[in-house]
Amino acid sequence: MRANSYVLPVVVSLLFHGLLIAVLGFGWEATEEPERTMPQFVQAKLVTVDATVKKKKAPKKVDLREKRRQQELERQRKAEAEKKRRAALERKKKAEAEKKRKAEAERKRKAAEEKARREKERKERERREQRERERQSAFDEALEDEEELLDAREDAQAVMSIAQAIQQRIEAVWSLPPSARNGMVTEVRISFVPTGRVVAADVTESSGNAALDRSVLNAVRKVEVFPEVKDLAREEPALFEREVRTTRLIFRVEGLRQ
Amino acid sequence: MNAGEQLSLWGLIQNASLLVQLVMLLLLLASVISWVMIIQRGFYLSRARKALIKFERRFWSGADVNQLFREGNARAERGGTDGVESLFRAGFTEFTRLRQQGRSSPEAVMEGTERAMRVAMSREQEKAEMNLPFLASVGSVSPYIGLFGTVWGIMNSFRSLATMHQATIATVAPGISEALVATAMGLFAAIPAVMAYNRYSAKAEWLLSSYETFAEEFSSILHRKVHSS
Repeated sequence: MRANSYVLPVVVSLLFHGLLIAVLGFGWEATEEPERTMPQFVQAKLVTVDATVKKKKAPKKVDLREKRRQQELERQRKAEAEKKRRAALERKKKAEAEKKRKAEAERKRKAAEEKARREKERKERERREQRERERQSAFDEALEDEEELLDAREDAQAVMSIAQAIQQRIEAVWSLPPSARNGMVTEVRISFVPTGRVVAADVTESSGNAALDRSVLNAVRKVEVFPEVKDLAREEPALFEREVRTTRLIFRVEGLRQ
Repeated sequence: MNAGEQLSLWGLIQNASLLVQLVMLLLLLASVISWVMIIQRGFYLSRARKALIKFERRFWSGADVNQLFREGNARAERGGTDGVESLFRAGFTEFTRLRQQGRSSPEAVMEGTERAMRVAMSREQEKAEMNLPFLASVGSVSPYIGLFGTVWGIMNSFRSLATMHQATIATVAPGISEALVATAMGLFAAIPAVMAYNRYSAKAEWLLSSYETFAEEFSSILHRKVHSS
């Protein structure tokens, strides 16, 4: 077998694996965001076609007499026009004065209106802001409430798990007296210090069987130090003070064969 | 590192423990090598099959055996012959050599020729079945290796779960996911290897039985020749 018969397979295999790795590396996330396509729009413009063809004017004819007469007429018309213009000027001046007065009044009125409007707007805005603030504060409160609730739930869970751990530790060393019967229940109160050591334990609700009560207290004393309590006291002292410093536990006799 | 990056394929592989990474590397290597074998075997077997068909056609077209032998001389000097032709050359060389000595009986000549062909045949068998055991062992072992990596990864992820206060699915899911990559790689290496092994061993078997048939036929021709003269 010649060695060069392996060159091509090696190259092909390496390429194949490289390609595979690249595809897996880039195409691993199968759920890509669907691409949002913008609607395509066409801009339309209204175009009017003007009639651009102009009519041609007929050429003028020259007539001197007519021209002179027309000049005369022109002069008369001009004089007339001048007179009219003067009168018009007079009228115009008056009208202008009138207009100015009116404009002044108008301006004043408008300024007053503007002021009123602004005032109103300001009030509106203030009211809106007020409302917004109120809503925001309500939202914040709700958020805080929820956080508190979550915290409380977390705390409750932590306490529960601690209580379970304590109970398990005690039950592991708990030796039942022969007189114990299924269904007997003893409630004990245990006081801890932050080092996890038990400082006091007493029966708060007896099972009616003194031996059983004693056996529970003995078990508590046998364990003596609870590392879970110590951890909790170090991590969350407030929770320890509130919930764990005195813990009530219920011990139930179960699973005896009799 | 955000969550998306952490759950990408690279993130998973990078976060895996060293042993799992080693397992993955081993499986990748096994996959690469088994693909090398698959491609090389595929080329070799298909070439051998083509050569067989071509040679048989030439052989049965009524060409003179001496001429056929001379035709192959150049190729044999260049780099050795493959497959059925080397069988033919081994048998024929031995046959002519024994006959030139002249002292051997026809039975001895035939026996020597057949022996030479058997030797060439076992060499061909070796060539045809080369690397197939490797494919077989990759196919049967790499799922176990991948499973080992997965079990180890899941063990670790559960161990880290045990130290948590609150166990949620989110604390174990990444670990299990990264552990499962190893199984996926094991299967990825194993499946082509098993398929290729089955296919190529069938092909090799067919090739060898064809060689055997040819050897029988050729020795019967030589038998006729040795007894006619």
